[in-house]
Amino acid sequence: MSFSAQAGPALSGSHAGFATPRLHRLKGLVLPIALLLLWDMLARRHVGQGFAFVTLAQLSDAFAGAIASGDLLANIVASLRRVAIGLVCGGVLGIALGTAMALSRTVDRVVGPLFHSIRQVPTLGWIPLLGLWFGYGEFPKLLIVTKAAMFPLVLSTYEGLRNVRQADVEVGRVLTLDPWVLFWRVRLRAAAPMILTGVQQALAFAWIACIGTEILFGSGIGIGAMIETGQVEGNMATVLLGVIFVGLIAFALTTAFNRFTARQLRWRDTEDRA
Amino acid sequence: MTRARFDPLLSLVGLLALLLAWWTATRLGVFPRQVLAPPESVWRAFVQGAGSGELGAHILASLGRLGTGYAAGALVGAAFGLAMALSREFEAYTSGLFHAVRQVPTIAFIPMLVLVFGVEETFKIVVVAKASFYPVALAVFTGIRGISAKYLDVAAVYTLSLAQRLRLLMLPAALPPVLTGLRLGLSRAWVALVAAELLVADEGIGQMMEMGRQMFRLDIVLMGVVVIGTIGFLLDHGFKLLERRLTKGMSA
Repeated sequence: MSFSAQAGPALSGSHAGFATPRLHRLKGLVLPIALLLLWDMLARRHVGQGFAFVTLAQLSDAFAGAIASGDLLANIVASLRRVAIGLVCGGVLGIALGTAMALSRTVDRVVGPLFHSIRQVPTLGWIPLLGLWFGYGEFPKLLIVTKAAMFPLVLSTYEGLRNVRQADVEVGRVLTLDPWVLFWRVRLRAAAPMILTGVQQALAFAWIACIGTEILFGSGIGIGAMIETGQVEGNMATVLLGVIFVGLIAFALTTAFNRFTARQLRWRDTEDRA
Repeated sequence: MTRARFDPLLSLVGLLALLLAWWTATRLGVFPRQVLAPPESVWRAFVQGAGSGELGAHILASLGRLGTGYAAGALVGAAFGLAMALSREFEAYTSGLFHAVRQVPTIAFIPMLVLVFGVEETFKIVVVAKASFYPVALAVFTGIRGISAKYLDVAAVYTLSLAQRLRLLMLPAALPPVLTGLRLGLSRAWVALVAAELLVADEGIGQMMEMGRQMFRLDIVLMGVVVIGTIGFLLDHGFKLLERRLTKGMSA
């Protein structure tokens, strides 16, 4: 849950003060480079438990090796595939349940408390149970990712549909719209921005849950499994490589999705101005 | 959400139906006991664990780590967020690294931290501290940066010192978002701790569940699920009550 909608760089740099933006940006590089050099120096002097630090040369070797062998790509593809499946399944289930809870008071009252009880348990806390039930294969992993994607979507769909302007719905009723058309063209459209926020959260949660499950199950392929294998083998270069790619992919997913949403919701800006 | 809905009977229907289905399924032997332990055996595991003091010891071990790590992470996070908010220079140097590291979920750092700190107590406390650091740092930063320029101008006109500005203006103005950040940090810290304990620990609620899994004690695993859910809920809910009390009368 460490990355979120308001991705960072936009916050900095925008208030460059007296310094030129370029100089400002260079300052941001000082600390990472200093840390890398310190890291490299510690590795050369064999500080720590021997395998805690690796030299930059070792890291780049590991990187080149993982790319050349295709392992890195295979692991990334495996993880992204899980996230995609989890998002589709969790998305459909989440939007369906959120809609049912928002539109029917009975469903809300019967399923709501159950939903909120289950929500209290951290997603990864289900792993020992699912491991017992379904073993260590692909299915329990997909189940966890689906669950992670589903829950934020239930909440945002519910909130979105509940907060539709009543006036809009009444206009629809006056026009004696078919309930289905009313739902599809009025309610769902009004709830779309909120649901898209939910999708954005679902994307982040699914990625985190996917990495988490792969690490905790420690089996199969995937970028999390790669990190966990690296840890068991005491191979810091592999672990670091995995961590860097987890961050890069998280950033890429969030950025791509934000671009997509901004494009999809352009109609809203003009409507608000009117 | 504003609609009042108080109908405890109907609210219980779903939970009771699930419990009944669970009980019936185990009664009829739809699943073997190792696959689905009956509700009463989960209850027995709870009573047994509570009676022997074992469950209490696990919970205390986890909460102790949570307290130490959270205190450290929240304090450092608040200081960091404050420094970033007050000094553009500090922000210029640190924000790049800050936001880059933020992209990586805490769980992905766990194996790396194991390599650096080993599997002892330090590692778990660092995980908790990392998980709570970010929400608090961000909340303090955005809370203080979000203060309207008008107020800052008034403070400048009165030539308030930095200490006075902090106490009279920034603290009260940033309190609501900071409290939300502190609450978010606490719940993330709990999630991260459970994950860390599932991976490596010799005591703690996550370790209890992992042992239960290895010994095929489904009752213990299920009991653990209920316990981590309850603790998470109590932490979050308790903090919400505190939040409401502290911000009472504030329009923000």
